[in-house]
Amino acid sequence: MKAESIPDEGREEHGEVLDRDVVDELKTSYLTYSMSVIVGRALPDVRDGLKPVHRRILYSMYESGLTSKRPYRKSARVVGEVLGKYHPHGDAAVYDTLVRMAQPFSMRYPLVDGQGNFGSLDGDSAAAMRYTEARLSKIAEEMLVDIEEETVDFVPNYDGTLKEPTVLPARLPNLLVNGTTGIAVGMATSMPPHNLREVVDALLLVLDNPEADLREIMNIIPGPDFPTGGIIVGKAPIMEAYHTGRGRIRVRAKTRLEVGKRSRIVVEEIPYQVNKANMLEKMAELIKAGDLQGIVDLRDESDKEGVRIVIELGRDANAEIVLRNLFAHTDLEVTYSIINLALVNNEPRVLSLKELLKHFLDHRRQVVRRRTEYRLRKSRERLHILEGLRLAIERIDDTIKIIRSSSSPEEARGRLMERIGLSERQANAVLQMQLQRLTALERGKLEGEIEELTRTIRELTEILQVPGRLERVIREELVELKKRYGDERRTQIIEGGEEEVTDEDLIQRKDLVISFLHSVNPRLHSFLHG
Amino acid sequence: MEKARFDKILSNKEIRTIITALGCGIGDELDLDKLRYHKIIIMTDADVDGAHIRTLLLTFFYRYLRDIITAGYLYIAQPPLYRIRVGRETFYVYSEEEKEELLQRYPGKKVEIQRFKGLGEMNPQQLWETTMDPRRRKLYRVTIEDAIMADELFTLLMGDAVEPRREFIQKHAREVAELDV
Repeated sequence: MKAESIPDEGREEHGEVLDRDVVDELKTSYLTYSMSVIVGRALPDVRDGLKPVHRRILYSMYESGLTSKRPYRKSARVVGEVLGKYHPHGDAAVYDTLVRMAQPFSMRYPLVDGQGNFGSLDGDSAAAMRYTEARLSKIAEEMLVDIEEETVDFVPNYDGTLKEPTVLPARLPNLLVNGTTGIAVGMATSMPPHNLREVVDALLLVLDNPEADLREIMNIIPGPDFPTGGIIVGKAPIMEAYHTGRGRIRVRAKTRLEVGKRSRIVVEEIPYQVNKANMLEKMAELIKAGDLQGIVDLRDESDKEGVRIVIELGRDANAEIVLRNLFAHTDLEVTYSIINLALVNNEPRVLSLKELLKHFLDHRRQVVRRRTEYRLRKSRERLHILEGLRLAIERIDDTIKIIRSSSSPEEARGRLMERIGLSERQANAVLQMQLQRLTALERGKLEGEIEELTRTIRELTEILQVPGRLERVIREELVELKKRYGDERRTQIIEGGEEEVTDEDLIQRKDLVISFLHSVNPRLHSFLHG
Repeated sequence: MEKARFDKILSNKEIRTIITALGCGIGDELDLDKLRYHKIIIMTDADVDGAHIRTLLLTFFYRYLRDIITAGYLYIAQPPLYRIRVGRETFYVYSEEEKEELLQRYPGKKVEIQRFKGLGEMNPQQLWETTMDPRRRKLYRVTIEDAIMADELFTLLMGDAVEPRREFIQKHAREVAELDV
């Protein structure tokens, strides 16, 4: 195993050769790979809703000071940092992830603030990473807040030179509000985004009443809320998905009928994750092939303000039927699969809505507890120093005498500890104290700080000890989050009602007279009404 | 991979190169007498993606060139996992246990550990010393001890049915030693 340079000779096998059963090898290698993909690549952690690549991008940007108030920086630099520091994989995968986090049509609450071309609803890709620029969005900072206060565990990075967080403190319920998608091995996840206000209210409900049932929760969260708006058809499937963690919901475009000499259907919002260009192409094909009748023209008038697809109808077309046909045969209506699969303690689990809420609250309890413990420890340490300074000032003549008569700092420290009764850390602080501390003003300040610290320590201790106090902190922070970032719901939810559309529903209703003549094929006479 | 049609497999450039290099034909036309090498060594990166590629290659050999395995001509190379520098000395270690053992021999010393994830991280000379030199390398010879079991496992892991695969993964999840995250 020791390396040394040897001449290039002696090709006969002298090394070790062991037999390896193909079954053992296959099993081990396959499991190593599949478990790594499941735990370390494709699925989000239930607590912060992030896969490792997301977490590494956000943490790396935070660490290099690329926050929402700083100037944008080239995406290529961000990608380079992430690769070099934490994520030894392909650069394209990292950039694609960064781009998606910046797309307002992909993320309900984008975590990256992008400058430049970050792609479009039509599936255009972003400009190359040497052109675009990025920084954290304001809401992304809520994912990282308190990370310096020992709130989460850190582990060595891939080459052991740096440390990276295993999870982010995540004040934002990211998994619920932004959703996720991922394909692992033998399993996949697909979680829809939600409205922040609703999610916060539901969290508060469960925080106050852990027994709250799904019905109560759904009074607050009626369903997903997509960044692209649209309409969810059918409430029962949503309830099913929230209850079991799996389900299929129908998502429809939002359309408006403009009646005139020639009526037109105007599409103003399309279903989440539908590629608009592909959808229009498919529509045009169907119209050309005669499978979609009653449409005379199709135009995409979308611009930077939003989606506007105009479907011009023929004179005698029935708008209702055309629309139904469009929903049935094009991506104006899609089925969105919900699989709430996330990692709980590094194990993949399918979770109900209630479980998702609870896991987030558990995480917040953990984070707030650890943060409080950290602050308490720091406050006590500071108080200890200040009390030492106070003691030294009270006996300032003795203190000065001791220091003047000592031959070295070490000796002074030892004697201060012995004679004044200071601890080693206090003695060090006294030796480093500035003389201005002795002024009346500074002495007053010292007293003030001690008083304030004592109060802080009492409050922090209360948070840790008095039942319900910790929850109050969580509540206050959630309410604050809602106030700062909450916005209106974009996706409408309607009752399913008609459910399955039969072929007959898609045929225009006409009054017909069918006449039979001997030895002649039946003929149809149709009478059109005005 | 398992069910992928034969011509689709042949359309893969790397697979075609392998078949050409072996010179023995494939499938029903396999003729071991024409095989040009008696040591065919699978050498993939020492990370989990390397493990994945290894499973794919094993499947290919098992399904289309099984005689090569039964004749004992298929091997797996063992590239090192770490390069550890202690002072001026350099060590290559091939497992986590070996690493721990080595580190314990140098308590308090400043050590520099490099985890090899790709063969491309090594210079040609390093790769020779650690993995390829016949006088010192470690090889695994692939054997088929239980053909029925092997057949079932290949079908399970590489077949079309997702459900049994998930069950298999869940059942054995705890046996996984090395995770790459």
